[in-house]
Amino acid sequence: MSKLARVLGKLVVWGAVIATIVYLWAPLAIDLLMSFEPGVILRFPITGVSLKWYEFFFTNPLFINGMIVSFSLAIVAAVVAVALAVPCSMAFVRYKFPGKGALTSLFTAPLSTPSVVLGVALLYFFSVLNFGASFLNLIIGHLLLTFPYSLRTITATMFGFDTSLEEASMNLGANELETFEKITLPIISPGIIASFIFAIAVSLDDVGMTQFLVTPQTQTLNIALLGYWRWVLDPTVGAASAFLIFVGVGLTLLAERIVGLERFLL
Amino acid sequence: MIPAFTFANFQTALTGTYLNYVILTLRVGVVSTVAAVILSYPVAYWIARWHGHTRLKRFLLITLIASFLVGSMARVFAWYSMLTGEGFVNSLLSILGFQRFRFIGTELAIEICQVQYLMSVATLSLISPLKNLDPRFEEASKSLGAEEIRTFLNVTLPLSLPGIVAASLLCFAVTVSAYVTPLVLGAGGILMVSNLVTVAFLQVSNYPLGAAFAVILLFASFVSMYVLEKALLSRVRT
Repeated sequence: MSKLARVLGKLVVWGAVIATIVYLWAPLAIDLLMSFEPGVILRFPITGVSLKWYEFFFTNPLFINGMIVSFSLAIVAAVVAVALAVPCSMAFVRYKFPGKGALTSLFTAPLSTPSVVLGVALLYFFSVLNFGASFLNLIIGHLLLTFPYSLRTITATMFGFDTSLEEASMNLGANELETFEKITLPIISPGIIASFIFAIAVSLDDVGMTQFLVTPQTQTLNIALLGYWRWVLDPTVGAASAFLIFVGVGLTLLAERIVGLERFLL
Repeated sequence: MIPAFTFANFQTALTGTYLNYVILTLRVGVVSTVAAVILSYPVAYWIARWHGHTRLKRFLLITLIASFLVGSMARVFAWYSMLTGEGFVNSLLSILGFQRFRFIGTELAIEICQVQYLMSVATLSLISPLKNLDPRFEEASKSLGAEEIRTFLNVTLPLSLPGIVAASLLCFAVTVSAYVTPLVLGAGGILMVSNLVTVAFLQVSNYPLGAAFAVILLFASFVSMYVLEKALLSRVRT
């Protein structure tokens, strides 16, 4: 009986592990394969091997413009989020001040707000303020998505920080700025890089909020793709998602190389 | 439009076809969450509490995080290729002698795609609570003569319950606010509340109704987040 239970337990665990690996990789691999289809509809098995949908995807001005908008937006939103999250997390971890709890809740609230709701709220907010639709609105919106993630990741790093290292540096005659630059920053840099990668991925992926803030000139890649998909069902979307898969897997391998994956546990 | 205070929009949002979509959203949330947590628990348990297999564990962690960072757009189009009429799954079905099935536009397609995403969310949030379980409880149980499986059922599983609750609520909140997945895999036939908000605002310009849907969505997500926070706090205390 106990032997049977043990075998059964092992079977369940190994079954789940193998199922997970297949479940998570198979669609990505199949999508990659199907994007080489030369015909006009997605099919399996593919009828030949062709790069024409990649060529179409990478030369279409709609998508090129989308990539430029998406990547510049993601980088700006991630940089600003990290720049704000470092001092904020220092304040939260090291000091006690009135309203700290409320402020923490406020700063992490966008994390639990559906992005479509954020989009609607921002649409009203900008129209009340008489902001014309612009790239700045997108940056402000995406900052709401990226900042809570950055704050959480950097705060986690800050908790493990041994402040006696900073005291030692100051004792040895360094001023506060030098100490921050030479001691604090290098120690928290893995957290910063992890939060930067997180922020990039979150910003690149958003559609729910973004759709309320884009103009025809500032369409992100995802919005452009959805707009295209609504009318044309050819393997372009396969090529596009293959590209996005490369970006996502690339970010993961980069993260694994530089900072380790434990920081990405939720 | 005459500005006045009214609950009429909530009434519209919660009757007829709209009510069906609200219920569908909640159902997809519950089904996907339950499936994902059941599948994720043994995986997280393996990563957190079994010894050895370091390389395979690293690969699995890369898999989970990559799947998370790849994002909804690539995922949804990948599943679109898998499930479309001439896609991989249907070709497999027809080779095996079954009839082709129209996956696109069904709830099942949305759930299959959503569970894949939730696997990352659930596993990545279950690993830490499982790792942080005090091993002395398990040792005590074993030294008192309980078999491994009984130790698991009577000690490990109950101790990890707050972690399971937290992971489930996170999955639920993520799923009810899903936007791209129902848009592409529902193919217009199936809408979830996020899609209704967008349709009301950007397509038919019924702002009050759209706002009512947004409030419903916000409510569902905030309630689960509130319970989540309580669950996390109780975990910190014990």
